[in-house]
Amino acid sequence: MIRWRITAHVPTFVAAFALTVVFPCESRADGHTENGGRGAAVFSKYCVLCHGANGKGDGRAVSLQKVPPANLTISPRSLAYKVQIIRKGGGAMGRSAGMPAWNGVLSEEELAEVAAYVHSLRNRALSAKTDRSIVGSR
Amino acid sequence: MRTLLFVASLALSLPALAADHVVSQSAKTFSVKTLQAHLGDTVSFRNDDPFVHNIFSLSDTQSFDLGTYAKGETRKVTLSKEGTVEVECAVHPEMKFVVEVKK
Repeated sequence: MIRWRITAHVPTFVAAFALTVVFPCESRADGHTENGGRGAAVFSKYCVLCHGANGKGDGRAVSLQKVPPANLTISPRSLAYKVQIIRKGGGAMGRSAGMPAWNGVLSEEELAEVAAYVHSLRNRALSAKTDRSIVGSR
Repeated sequence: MRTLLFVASLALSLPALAADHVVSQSAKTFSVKTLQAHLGDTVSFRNDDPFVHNIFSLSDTQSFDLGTYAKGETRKVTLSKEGTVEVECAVHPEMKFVVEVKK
């Protein structure tokens, strides 16, 4: 009787496992994802030129910029601010005109996703710093 | 004296011999894949798209950044060194072409 109860739930376990394989990326409200998802892909395509692969403002086009691109891993700006500056560009936000306006280039969905990913870069940097300080204190 | 005048007028007219190459940006594409040019030529980058472009080059031969500019605007670069100049768009990473600059 016990064996029957366990096997009755096998399809449920299989379905749950399949879902975790098909959708490995859980997106949190703070934009942090396991591997970045589509936001990371947009960032990699459009943003690394100036902001660098890790968002530290060390992209290959840095030498051309009068104002260095922002180090996104330490940016104190809110997610809402980041959405606006990505959409409108730096000049419209009182920052460097070197930051283009991506409205019209990115869809609203891409804009939201890349902003969430950019916002997560700071969280990742803070987590890494916390982990290092914990290890260091042992 | 005549020789001197001739040489002087020739020297003064040399800049006028420099060519201006117009390269259009349309449908997120440059109008050329490669461009053969000479020292002193200019390249006029004309935005024929309904959105902005930001044309730049990070080539060792000559680097430049034309900034972001809108439809209808043209921005120019004077080719000041021999060699290969790889031109890109910061807003549209798939846009690239090459300028071969000779004497």
